[in-house]
Formats: sequence, C-alpha cells, structure tokens
Amino acid sequence: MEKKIKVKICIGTLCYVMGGSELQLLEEHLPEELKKRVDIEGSICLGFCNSNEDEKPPFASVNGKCVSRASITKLINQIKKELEDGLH
Amino acid sequence: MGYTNGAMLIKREITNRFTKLYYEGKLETEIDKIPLIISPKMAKKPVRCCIYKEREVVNNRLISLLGIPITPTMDELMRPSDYIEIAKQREETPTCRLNIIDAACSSCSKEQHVVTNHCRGCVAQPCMLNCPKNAISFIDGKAEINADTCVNCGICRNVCPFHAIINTPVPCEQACPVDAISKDKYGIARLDEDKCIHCGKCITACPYGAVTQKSHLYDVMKSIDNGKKVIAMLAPAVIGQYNVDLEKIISGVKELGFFDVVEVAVGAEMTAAEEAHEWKERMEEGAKFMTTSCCPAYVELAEKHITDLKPFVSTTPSPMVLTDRWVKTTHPDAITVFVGPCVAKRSEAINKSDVKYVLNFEELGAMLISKGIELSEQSTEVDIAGAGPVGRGFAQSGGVAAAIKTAIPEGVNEIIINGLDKPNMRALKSMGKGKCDGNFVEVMVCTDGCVAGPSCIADIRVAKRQLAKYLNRN
Repeated sequence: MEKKIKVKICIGTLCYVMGGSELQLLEEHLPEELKKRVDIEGSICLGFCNSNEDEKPPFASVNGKCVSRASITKLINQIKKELEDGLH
Repeated sequence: MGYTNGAMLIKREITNRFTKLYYEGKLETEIDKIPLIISPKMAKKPVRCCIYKEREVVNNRLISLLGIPITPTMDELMRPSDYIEIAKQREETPTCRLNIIDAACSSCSKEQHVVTNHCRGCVAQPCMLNCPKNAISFIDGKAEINADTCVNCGICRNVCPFHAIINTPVPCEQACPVDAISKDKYGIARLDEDKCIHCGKCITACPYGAVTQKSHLYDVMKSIDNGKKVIAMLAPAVIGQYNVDLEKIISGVKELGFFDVVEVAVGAEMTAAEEAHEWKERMEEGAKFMTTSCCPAYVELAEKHITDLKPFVSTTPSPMVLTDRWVKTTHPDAITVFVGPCVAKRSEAINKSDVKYVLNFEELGAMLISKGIELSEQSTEVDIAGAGPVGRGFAQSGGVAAAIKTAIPEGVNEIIINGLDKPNMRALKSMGKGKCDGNFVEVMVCTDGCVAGPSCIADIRVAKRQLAKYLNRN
C-alpha cells in the first residue's frame, strides 16, 4: 500500500483571521486522482508562526514541509511535487 | 472578502500587532516601532515605492486604530504614540466617517479604455465601426482611442474579437454605488460624507487599502481594563466566521474580559416579530409595500439618495437596537459593543442608538489572537440566550423575508434585493416611484448578506456552510 501524503492545515485563530478559511475547502478541490493519495487533517498551530518573521500565515504543511501564505492552489502544487519527488 | 487580498492582510497584521502591544502594556513605548517592523530597513522589496512611504501608511493606520481621523490637514509631526493620550482621555465614541490615507492612495488615473498591443488591426474593425462617438481611428494599422471623445461605454471592448481593448477603472469609484468618491485636484480620492452610505465597498475595493475607518478597539480594551461592565453583542453573521461552534466563540470572547456576551440574533427575532406586525398594519392601511430596515447602509441609501423610498422603510428598530435595549433591561449601566461584519453599523450605532462601540470581526480576531485565546480549545459549556434559526437567518440574503413569512405564513409576497449592483439600484429607484411587484422588500446592500460583509474574515462559501448548519438545527 502506497504511503499517503500528509497535509496538515492550521485551524488556529491567527491563521484563520489571516485568510486561512478557504483551506477548509481543500479536500473538495483536490483533483480526483489525488483524493485517495492525500490525508488532510486540521491542527492547532503548527508552530511555524513563531519560527520565522519572513514566513506569513496562513500556514499548512505537506509531509512536514511548511507552506506559508497557504492557498488551495499552492497546497495542490506542493502535493503534486511531493508525489513526483516520491517517484525518484 | 471574496479572495485573498494582500492589502487586507497587511491591515490585519498591523491590527494584530497593535492589540498585542496593548495587552502587553507596551503600546505607549513601542507603537512607533510597528512601522519599522513591518517595513524594515533591509526589506527585500517594498510593495510601494519605498519603505518610507510604507512606514508612513502604517503610521496612519495605527493612528486610525486609535480612533483618530486621518485628514489632509493633520499635524505631520505627530507620531502614533502622541495620540495615545487623546484616545485614553476620550469619553465620546469616534465618529463613523470613512477617511482616505493620502499616502496610501495611489491617485489611480481616470477611468479609460485603452487599446493594448494585442490589436492586430483586423479587417472587421468592429471597434471603430460600432463606436457611438467616433472616438476610434486606425493609425499605422492599429486602433487608437481618442480620450477626449471616448465616453467609456465599453462597446469597443465587448466587440473586439481579440480582447485587445481593456478598461482601467478607478476601483474605489467603480465600487461606490452612490458616487460618493471623486478625486481632488491632486488626484487623491475624497469621500463626500453627505453622500456616503458607509457600505464599505470602497474599503474592500481599493487595492492599496487607502480607505480606513476609525477603530473603536482602543476604547473597548480601555473600558474593559477600567473595570466597566462591557457587554459584547455578536451579530448573527458571527456563526460563519471562526470555524468553530458558536458556544466556543462566546466563551472565547468572554475570556477577553467582557462582562457578558450575547447574540444579536435574539434581537433579530424581536425585530422579525415587530416587523411582521408592522407589515400587517401597513397592509391593512392600504400601503403598497414595505421594506426592511435592518441593513443600515440601505437605510442611509433611502435617507440620502432614494428619498422616495423613505415612507416605505419599516420603522421597526434593527436587531442591534433591540438587543441593546434587551441587554439594558437587566444591565442599565452596561457599555454595549456591537461586533459584526459591517461598516455602516458604526454609523447606525453612533447616530441612531445607545450602542457605545462597534468592533468588526477582524478587530475581534486581533484581540483573541493577541490574548492567545485559541477558539477551537474553548469550552462548549456556555449559556446561550436562545436565539433560533429565525434570528440567525438574518445574516444572509433572504433570511429576513423568511423570518417574516414564518410569522405570517400567508399573503407575504417578497422581493429580495441581494446586493447593490446597478440593476438593483434601478429596481429600488423605481420602487420609490411606487412600482413594486411584491408587498415586502428585503434589502441587503452586501451581496449574499451580512455573511459577506466588508469586515468578514471567512471565505464566503465556508461561512455560508457553517451558518447553514445552525439554520437547519432545531
């Protein structure tokens, strides 16, 4: 069984106020072929907000890698990249 | 907010830093550092022309957050910290007038239609042949628009087979439904308070975030700190905003130090009952129709622009006003704070009610973040005064009409005005002349209703879904 890509979305108040609400819709925006290969979970504060002033909320992570200023498009691209990298 | 908008995010970041410093007790000493943190010396790439301009804009935003008006004549030597004392001493509520931050306004050039280099000088030349003003000619095989005769009708843009003609609007002017914004002699946007209905569309439309409203944040936090009995009244639209159950929102807001937190949906149910009664009476008296009065921007529209509509507007007080009265029956000494998505509510609160302050969802969010209150971790064990779907439904287009029809199952023939676009403006004007196909008109100036208000933080699709969960609950 193939390992799934793990996506964590910050559901903390800060990320939500800073534009993270649309990330709630990620699952339904995933292309069909990706749906079965991704696990999405919500998480309170991923810890990125205090680590680096240059990175801005909303935060999410794909297989542990930080995605700042996250949007649905950005996350889907990152998921695809992870899948590609997994092939090499 | 329909899409991610950098101008809005930076505003929110400044607000968050402002409240954080307040709670840390460092506002006086560190407020002037905020612009330097936002636009540091070695900034990789300033968005505006330079970091100094960016800092000036941030300074103005901070002054606005202190509830001080930004005017062209203000003393430029005053730093944000210099205004804190004024805010501290202030007893009265800052007014609702919207201000333009001159430094932020980009003086966008006048609206015009431009032929881009995608023009191929085709044989059809529909732009030239269909221009009603003969403003287009072909020079060296390319179309050219004569700006002096062009009236921006847009026909050329629509008929060009290559989409080679574009329209560059002035976003704030285009968004304003009542022509309250125009440019001064320097090209900077100016708002005419006599015309402004405080709908807030310009605030969201300006890509530079130049339109600002004086915040009541400082006054609210100060009142709580001074041990006053401050009661938060949450607008029905709050349900869709923070992605957690209402119980959690309420207990989170309580933790900010509010004496109590109530739902305005309770007042909305009183409004619905009273308005249904009023409608019945008016119909018996032979009135043609009645319109709602809960949307404050609409009420201002009827007062300032479509005065023919005024006699048709319901005189029933708004949910905010009735909630305020209800709160004050038990706490006559309370300072009430309306929390909502609306810009115009500030104007209603100040000019037409006993509500002392208004916060928006962004500002409430900033308070929660700065106090480290994580809403999803809040307790669900709170008492909610018991509003139902009828009151909570006021948050979205169609909700008020639905509430009236619940009260009066037969005879209500409703017309829903959802948003203030051009066709709806025309419809309202003709209603003022007595032409109305229904007998009850619900008007909301924001398309989709308050869930899509200018100060909402949640994506509209997410907000609507969350609200629907509550409306389907019994």
